Amino acid sequence: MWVLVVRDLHVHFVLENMTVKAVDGVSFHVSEGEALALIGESGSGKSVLGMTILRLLPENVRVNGKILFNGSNLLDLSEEGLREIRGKEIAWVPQNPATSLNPVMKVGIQVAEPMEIHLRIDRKSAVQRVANLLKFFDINPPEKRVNEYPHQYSGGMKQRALVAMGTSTKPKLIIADEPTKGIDMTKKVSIVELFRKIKKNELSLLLITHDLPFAEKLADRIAVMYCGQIVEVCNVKKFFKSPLHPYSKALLNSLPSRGLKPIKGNPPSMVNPPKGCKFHPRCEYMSGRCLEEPQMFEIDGNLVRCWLYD
Amino acid sequence: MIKGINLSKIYESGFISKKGIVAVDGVDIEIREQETLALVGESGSGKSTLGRILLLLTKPTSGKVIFDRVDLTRLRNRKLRDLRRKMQIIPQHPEDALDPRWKLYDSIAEPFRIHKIAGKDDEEETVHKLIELVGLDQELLRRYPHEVSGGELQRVVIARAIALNPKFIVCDEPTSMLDVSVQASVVNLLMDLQRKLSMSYLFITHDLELADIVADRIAVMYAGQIVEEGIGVLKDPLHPYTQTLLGITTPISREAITPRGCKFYNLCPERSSKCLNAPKTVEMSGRRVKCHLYMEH
Repeated sequence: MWVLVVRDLHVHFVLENMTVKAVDGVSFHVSEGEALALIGESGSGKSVLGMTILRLLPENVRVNGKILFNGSNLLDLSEEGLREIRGKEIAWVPQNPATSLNPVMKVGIQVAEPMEIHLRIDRKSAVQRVANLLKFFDINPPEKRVNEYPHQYSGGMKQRALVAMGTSTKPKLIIADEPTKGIDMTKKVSIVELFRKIKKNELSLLLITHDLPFAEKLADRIAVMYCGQIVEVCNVKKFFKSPLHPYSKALLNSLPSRGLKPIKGNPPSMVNPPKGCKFHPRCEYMSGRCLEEPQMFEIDGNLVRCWLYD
Repeated sequence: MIKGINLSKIYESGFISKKGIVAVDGVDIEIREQETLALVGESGSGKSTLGRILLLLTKPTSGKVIFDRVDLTRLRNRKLRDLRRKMQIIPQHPEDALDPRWKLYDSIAEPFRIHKIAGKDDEEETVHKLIELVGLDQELLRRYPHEVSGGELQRVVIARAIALNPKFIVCDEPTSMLDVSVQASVVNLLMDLQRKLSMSYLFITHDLELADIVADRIAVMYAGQIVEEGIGVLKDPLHPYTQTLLGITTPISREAITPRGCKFYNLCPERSSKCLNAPKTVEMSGRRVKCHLYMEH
């Protein structure tokens, strides 16, 4: 069963004298109980894609394509219809836990808010449920923590409180945007544990991250984004053993544990992306054919956008 | 090259009843010529404070910093400023280190102006040389910080740091905000420059794999103290804390730091009654460890 299906999605920011093609023809799906990690460098369009799914982008953005959730196209829904889904069926765990909580409101009340709105529980019992949630996510002692303010929480605890907020309404899908950004290597272990815990509850996860070791530990499949396009969708084991796309190979080789080899050249411009395959100016396997845009090729159930696999 | 002896830093807060927070607790540290010492540990363990103390950007509460046989803690400000040419810092957030209203050219040229070193023509030539050295295009010099990417900005900060031929640089998590591929190129640049300009680095990071690649020696910090230091620390860790850091063992609880005795006591899988007394640092075959397991009783 597919929970979320994205079909040929285009997101263009139209400015006075140029158009930024942040998402340029993206298709993928997330199955029930599956964790899909969307990886790529900053500026590759990952976060914009995540925000488009929940329609969190401003009005002047031009969006084309289909985003199917439970059979309905989210892009066609009215703002009211969307409100039934946002926060209830699909939860969003934002980047920067530090700036995502209201500094002058008690954490317990903030975490309880989605339950009050979507499950129509009164505040008192909602806050009580929050205590259980905080305990589940290892924020101790929960009865005391419920009444504390965000500045009394550490960075990791804020992150966990936000995840608690996201999962409180028992959504079908959670979209987490860079959940490990700015978090200490030593504390990442607990974030991994946390997501493993919620995955057990038959939730689907869409992880937006550039943290490859994190994606390896959590995801079932990896989708690689480069310059607004998905260039590879691959089973996680296969991806970290022998990725298909030359960009994926280069990205893995830039990890400290794999030799710290930088990718030559600079990330492409989203305003004037290179012709044909967008990676060709930086690619080791470049040939004349790469000036034409490659389509997705299927190799043993994995997808790759590269002429090498024709 | 640079040596810290028994360094401590206590931050005091409160007005009537003073509360002290010990950020650095009796640390001995030495960085030799052309060497990279990686300082690893969790956030809040005092890594950055220690780095800043070695540059005297933060005054230690007690202890000495010896640089080129001079005790920096006893120098007057003017003398210290002269010596500052020889020591630099590359901070974690390059965007905070540059003036947003200055063109990048002026930021790189600032050290020459402060120390009144180069004339106008000289200055231009040197800035161009520097920007080439860090692998950036000259066209970038006319831009403002918000007009370039994070990786480029970090290279600009590096160019400014090496402008006056320093001998010692504290790299304070220089790549933690960058993407993996950009991180690879910035780290490679730093290592290249070290060879070319024969500098010493204190490389502060919480990424153990990265530390293993860049460093000659590694020091592990926990709760303001260096608990283990030497070569091959991450391949063959001796201290129980280093072992938990590497995921070889797991801490036995989640409670915070013990007030007395070994600071790792509450979490340590190998604790015993001895550990309620503070352990001393022992040296064994080139490794220094602060743990009762290795002390002779």
